[in-house]
Amino acid sequence: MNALILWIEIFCAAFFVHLVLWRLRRPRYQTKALLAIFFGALPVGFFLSFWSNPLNFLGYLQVTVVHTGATLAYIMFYSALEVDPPTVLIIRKILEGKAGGVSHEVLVSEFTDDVLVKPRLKDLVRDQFAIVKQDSYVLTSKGKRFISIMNLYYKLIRR
Amino acid sequence: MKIYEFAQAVSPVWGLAINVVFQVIAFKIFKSLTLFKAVVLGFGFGLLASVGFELIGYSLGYLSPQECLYQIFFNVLGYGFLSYCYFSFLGLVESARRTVLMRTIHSQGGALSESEILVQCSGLQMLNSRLARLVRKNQIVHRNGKYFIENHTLVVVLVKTVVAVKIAVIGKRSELDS
Repeated sequence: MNALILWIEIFCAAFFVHLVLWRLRRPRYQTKALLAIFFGALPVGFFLSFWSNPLNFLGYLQVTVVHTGATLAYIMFYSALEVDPPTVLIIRKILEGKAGGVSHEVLVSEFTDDVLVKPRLKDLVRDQFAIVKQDSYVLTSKGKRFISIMNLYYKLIRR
Repeated sequence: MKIYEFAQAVSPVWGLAINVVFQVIAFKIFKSLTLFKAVVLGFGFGLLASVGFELIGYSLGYLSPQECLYQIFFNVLGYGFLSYCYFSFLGLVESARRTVLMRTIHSQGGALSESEILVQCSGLQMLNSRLARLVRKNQIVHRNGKYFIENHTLVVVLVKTVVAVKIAVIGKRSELDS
């Protein structure tokens, strides 16, 4: 039970730090900042637990595994908070229309390239997956590596 | 006993491995299975393995009933987190906008102008594919040229949850809000 309590304490503390920092000023590289906060909380939590309620090696290993899963899951979920997925935008717009519904024309006029595509192209440049060279988006080696992995798995889940 | 304890501590990891292997194999073998159903099946197998492992520990006398329940709870929690990561990863591979854009650029030799990108993956195409998918899955209804939400399905609940968390964490409803 001690391992579960320790994990809850570590995760809640990291989440609280994240909330406070985000309210003060959101970092430019949000995913990197979240990784630093949540994984940084782990050794701090372990260090503090040595004095209060130490676990054995396997207890710390179990906390590490669950905390890693929880952190990565939150970061995956956070990507839907950081940028608006199109499905979220569409559903929100239709909900705003209430019983009257929303026409295709309204959706088309609202969700243009400027909303759905261009910000994501800027993200590619910001995250160094691509650079702009002579008005063209050119994949960096980081971008090429990333898409190679994605394509490899894409083939695996395709028939 | 030591090997059992170690395997128990990392049980969410091998639970996920079982999940992924079963999902990929089932999807390849059973042609009628959709990707989503294969993912659910894989998740079920991984879950079964994680819970079964703790029950074996209990039956061998390694765990008391209370310890067994606690370990099932803690490890299933960890397994659930890792499985959610895998599920999100599949979404990233298949349809995330950034991946689609990078795949488009990559398929054209690694460089493409903005106008060329917009011809191949325009906002309109993205909108239409999402609308078609939502209608096909009965999440929204298309009638008399308009889209409606007639019953609050899971996707509506999820969208409302995302918006609520977004307000709590980021302080605004949308990235489009100033």
